[in-house]
Amino acid sequence: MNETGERGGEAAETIVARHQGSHYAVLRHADRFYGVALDDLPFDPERIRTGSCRRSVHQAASRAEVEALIDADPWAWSTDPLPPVFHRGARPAAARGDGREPVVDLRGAVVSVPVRPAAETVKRRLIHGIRGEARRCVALLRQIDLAVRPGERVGIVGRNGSGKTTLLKAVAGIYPLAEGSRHVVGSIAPVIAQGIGFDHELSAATNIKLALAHMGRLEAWSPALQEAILDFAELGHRAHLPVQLLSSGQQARLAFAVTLFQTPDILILDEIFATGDEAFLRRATAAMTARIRTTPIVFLVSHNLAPIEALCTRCLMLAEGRIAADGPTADVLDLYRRTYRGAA
Amino acid sequence: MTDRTDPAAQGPASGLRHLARTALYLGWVRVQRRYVGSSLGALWSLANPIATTLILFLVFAHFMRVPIANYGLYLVAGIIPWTFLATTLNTVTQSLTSRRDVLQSSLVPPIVFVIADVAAELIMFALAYLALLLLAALVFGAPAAVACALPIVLAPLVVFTGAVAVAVAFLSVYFRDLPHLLQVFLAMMFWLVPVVYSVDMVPEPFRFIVNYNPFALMILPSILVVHGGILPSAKLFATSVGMAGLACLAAWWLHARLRRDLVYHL
Repeated sequence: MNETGERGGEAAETIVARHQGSHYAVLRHADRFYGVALDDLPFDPERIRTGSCRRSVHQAASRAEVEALIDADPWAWSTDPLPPVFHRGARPAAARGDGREPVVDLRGAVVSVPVRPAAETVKRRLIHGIRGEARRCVALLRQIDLAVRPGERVGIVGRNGSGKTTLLKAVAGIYPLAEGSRHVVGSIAPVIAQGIGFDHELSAATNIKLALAHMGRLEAWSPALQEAILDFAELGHRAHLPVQLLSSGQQARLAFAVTLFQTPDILILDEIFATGDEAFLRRATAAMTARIRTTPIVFLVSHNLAPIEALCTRCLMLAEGRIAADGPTADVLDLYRRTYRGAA
Repeated sequence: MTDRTDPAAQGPASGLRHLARTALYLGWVRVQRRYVGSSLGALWSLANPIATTLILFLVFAHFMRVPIANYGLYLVAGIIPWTFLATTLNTVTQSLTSRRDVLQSSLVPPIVFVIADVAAELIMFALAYLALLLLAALVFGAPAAVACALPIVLAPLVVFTGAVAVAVAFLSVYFRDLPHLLQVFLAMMFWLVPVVYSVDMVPEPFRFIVNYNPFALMILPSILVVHGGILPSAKLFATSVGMAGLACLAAWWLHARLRRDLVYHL
């Protein structure tokens, strides 16, 4: 890498400092200062305008301000220099044509799952059938009333088995309701698991299309989107390698990148945060933050309370399949911490 | 209870065309995936029907001296469609249960995965049928011109297989004995469909087994075209079309009844 960032003889910028170890460089160009990931060197400020930088770029009037931005909590990053294809299809509700805002409305929702006995014999089944006995069911969600409007980012907290994922699946329409009603307006993207549909014997490029098909988003596939996903996952040079030959970290990057590049009205995230090396983590966090902030309605489940605290405008606390608390994020998280001190 | 996503604002999973495209793509990937790493690739798809045809030819033409002219062609005409039907039904018993994780995290309707598996088998069927017909043409002489009508003649078989496949796939989720039962049923049914003998050889008192057997009604038209060099009678073709239509109605009814709570039973 050229330390001065020279590009074809043109002195595009001057490195004035390295920051955060060796991950970021602070550059000066035309009286502006930029914090740029080293992967993006040689740096061209035009790339900020066109959105083709590989990582978040911070810009400010002084070096100190840029350094402060880099040091700041990653959730607070404000720049969003992702490829333009990342934003394709993003549209405010008013621009959808029907003028309707996305809405999620659950009333008296109950989710009940039938229990299949481990050793169900033909005899037992016949006896149950003759007696007309219904199969035993377990209620996972009870009497959920939840109305969410555009602009609300709803964090969901609760201990294991409290019903967080079940609630997400009920909102998405994956789990039908046993009782109550569900009314949803808007396109939904449930990101309950990463890498669904991946076939490890096929190439990374094929797996992108395959994953999109499994997510019901095959129409969104294009060479540009595929390239953007590979570029984001830093796998452009390994696009044609079978996924099984990628490291587990690279596989996780690919899975994360596929889930990231979508622009629904309602985004449902279940513990979906990137894994990988520090540099990727930083960029992925920034990108997911940008996605969450530009989506009209977001549901976010996480055992890590930091993203909920930083991103959510509203929070639900679940216990035993019921909503135990619903309100401003700070209040609900405070209650959650007090209730489950030592367990959270 | 109501469960409603506003259809006007539904995501990309909506729309029949989109779902059909997704199913075909998944089917095509399945075909590509099937022979990844094998040296003979798609030629393996011919191995089973060729082996079955050869052994049946040896036993029935030479040992038992079945009085059917061009017996090899007769076998090819019946065995390949039968293999498509039986393989598809056996495959789809796992279409939904093997995709539990996907179905519990995605909004793609389960039927898409069943259609994808049927599409994969259909592609393999078309390739195998074409290859064996060319081979048969070299050995037994060119089939009659009416063979050009095969795509239309085979349409009821494809629709029937798809419809029964949907029913089998959904029922297999609720009744885990079904895949095992189906294997036994198909093994018996092979001998009740006239693919190794002709209808004329069946004694009159037992002929109803063939005449009222929906599986036989689906296979017979292709045997008539490829082996007999004649188009099926209007009555036979209409019956097979009607049977395929009935299968579609039954599959639609079952799908409507079973799809709602399917995710809980995976």
